[in-house]
Amino acid sequence: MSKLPGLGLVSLYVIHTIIFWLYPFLWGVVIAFKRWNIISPEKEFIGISNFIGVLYDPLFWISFKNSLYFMAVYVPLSIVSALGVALLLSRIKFLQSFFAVGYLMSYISAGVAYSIVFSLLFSGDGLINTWLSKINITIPWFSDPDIAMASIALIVVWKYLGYYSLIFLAGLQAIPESLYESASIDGASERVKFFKITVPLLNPSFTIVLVFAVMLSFNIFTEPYMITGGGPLDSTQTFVMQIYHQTFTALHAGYGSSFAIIVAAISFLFVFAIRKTVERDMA
Amino acid sequence: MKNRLTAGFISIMLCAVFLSCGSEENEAGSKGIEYWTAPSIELSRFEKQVVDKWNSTHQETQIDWKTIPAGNTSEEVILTAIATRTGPDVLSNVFGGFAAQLADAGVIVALDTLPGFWDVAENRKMANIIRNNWFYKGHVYVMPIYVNPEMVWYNEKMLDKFGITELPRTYSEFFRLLEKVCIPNKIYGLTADVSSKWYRRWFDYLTFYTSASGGEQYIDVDENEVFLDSKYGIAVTEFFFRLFDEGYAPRFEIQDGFEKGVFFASIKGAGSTVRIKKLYPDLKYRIALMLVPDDYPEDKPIYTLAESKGMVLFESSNNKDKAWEFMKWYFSGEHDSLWIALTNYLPAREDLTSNPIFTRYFDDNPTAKLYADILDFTVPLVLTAKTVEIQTSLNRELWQPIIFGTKSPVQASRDANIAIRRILKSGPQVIN
Repeated sequence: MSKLPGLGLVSLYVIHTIIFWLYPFLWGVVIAFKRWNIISPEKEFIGISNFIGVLYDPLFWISFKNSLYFMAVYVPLSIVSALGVALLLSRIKFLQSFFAVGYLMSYISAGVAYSIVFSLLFSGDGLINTWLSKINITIPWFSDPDIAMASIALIVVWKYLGYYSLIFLAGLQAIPESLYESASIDGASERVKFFKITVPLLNPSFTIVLVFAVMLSFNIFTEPYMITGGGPLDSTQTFVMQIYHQTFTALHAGYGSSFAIIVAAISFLFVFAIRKTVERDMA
Repeated sequence: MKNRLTAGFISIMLCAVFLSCGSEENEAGSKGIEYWTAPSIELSRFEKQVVDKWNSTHQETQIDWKTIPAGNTSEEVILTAIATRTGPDVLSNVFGGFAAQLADAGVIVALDTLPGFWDVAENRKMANIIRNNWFYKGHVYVMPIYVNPEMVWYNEKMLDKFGITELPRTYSEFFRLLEKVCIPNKIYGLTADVSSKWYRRWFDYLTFYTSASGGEQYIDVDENEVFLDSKYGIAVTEFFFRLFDEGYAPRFEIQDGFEKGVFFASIKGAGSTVRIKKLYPDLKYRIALMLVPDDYPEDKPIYTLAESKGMVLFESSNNKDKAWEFMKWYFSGEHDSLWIALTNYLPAREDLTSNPIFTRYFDDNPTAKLYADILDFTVPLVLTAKTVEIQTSLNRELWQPIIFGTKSPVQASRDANIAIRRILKSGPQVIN
């Protein structure tokens, strides 16, 4: 009987998972093999045709290319900036939590709200360009196909900066101070200590942040959807935008579902590869 | 024993969750007729008055009125509501293409099968509008509420500054004026939306196509034909290509550019006047017919595209008869003078300029009268369930490449033609 309260508490989570994760997931797999327009009760089984259709869809490959571009900008930038902030936070002796929470504010702000704010700030006649115009520079942040995705990556870096910083900060705090003291006695420079102690021992944090950042690169939606709508010239089309468009606008729910499954598989492969190549056993 | 207890606990929790969902649904069903309208301040002001009036005189059938919940487009919100069985009985603000999607899915009622439909249409003087514009696969699924034709607005201050008294009619005349008025990167010629939002093409490219072609549609849904590579389509594409290429339209968004005096001209519907009066009371403008290609016949009237929206009744409604009674009352015609006064959208009626109930409004609002005068030369939106796919493709193959100059006008027109024809024939994907 002593286990009952615990099981009771766990059951809430289990029920939540069944209703909001397992059931939609299984349903998604089922409809991926069907032609269904969401609003009609009729569903026609069409085998793997939806999956073949996705692989022949030019927008799938455009979204794939855009996701890689986003990843190329976002991943290094977010890791470097978050690590920098974490190193600064680790040196603060007073009010460390206050500053850490301050950085988290961007993470908890609503995606739609800050997307609108950024789209106004960075628009052709927005505040940023008004300032820049004083030195005769105008940057078409979201309207130039070559830089629109990079501009969106910058916004997402801002959003996740605090979250990733906290992960790095936790990693930094887990490194024993004695290692740095020993290195100092041996005459190691700050640079050597950083690359020989900090970076190797932060491997678990690097792995987590890298996995999160790569997964996010395949799941990016709110910012491009709200700010650019996938344009200009499809340069900010993403997988999830296509899944959403196919499912809820074009009413091809089966197609959207198969799209989602393929994207999930790609995302899983990337995460698997990262863990294989980056993750080290710290035990 | 422990396992049984655990299993029992989980079962109770599951039952509680499902039962709570069910009870919520029953509760919603008992509220009467759920009626959703567009989330606009002006429209809501009208709807509130009308619903209050109905509710005060129909105690047995109360209307539970709500504005459509916030979302990117009303259509996406409605679809989500339908899919989750939380949609309304009656919905307004529905455009033809969306109604066609709903009709194909069998979720809305063919209104012409209901008793008294044509009487309502005749009484409100909209029978011909319905016959000409709203038949879809042999039935009428939408009660048209309003029409919103597009015209060209010109900044009066700029016109006066350059002594321009005669407004342009053709593309060449327009570009000649732009050479005078525009200042590179400071004053632009015509607002042309650069976003990828599919519905924005109604208000630029497709309106221009309607005018250039003398009131023709750009596709023939029955024959699966597309005419974007016709001489009209290419003329319109060349017009916009030049507009962007010569810097008369920026390749980025400028919020309220015309209203702020950054643009010389803009395409706007009658409904825009309310917002402009409220937010930009000092803006002075003149309104003219749409621009046409240089070889457009002098004696031919100039047509324009008219967005139109209406009301539908859902098959899922438990109170269809009562909901239909409400719709008949709503479209009795007695609320249209209040509608136009509060919203500035033109009611979908054939007697707007002749019916005395509108005389005072048009006397007070000469701008709206300009729009009412051209109603005979308006073309409705194409009624097809593939509207979103078609206009998404138009964006992708023609509009965006023209903005950035990555395709020639001829190539863009041809590519769009091929892509849209493929959608009409089989859909955008291999299998869907």
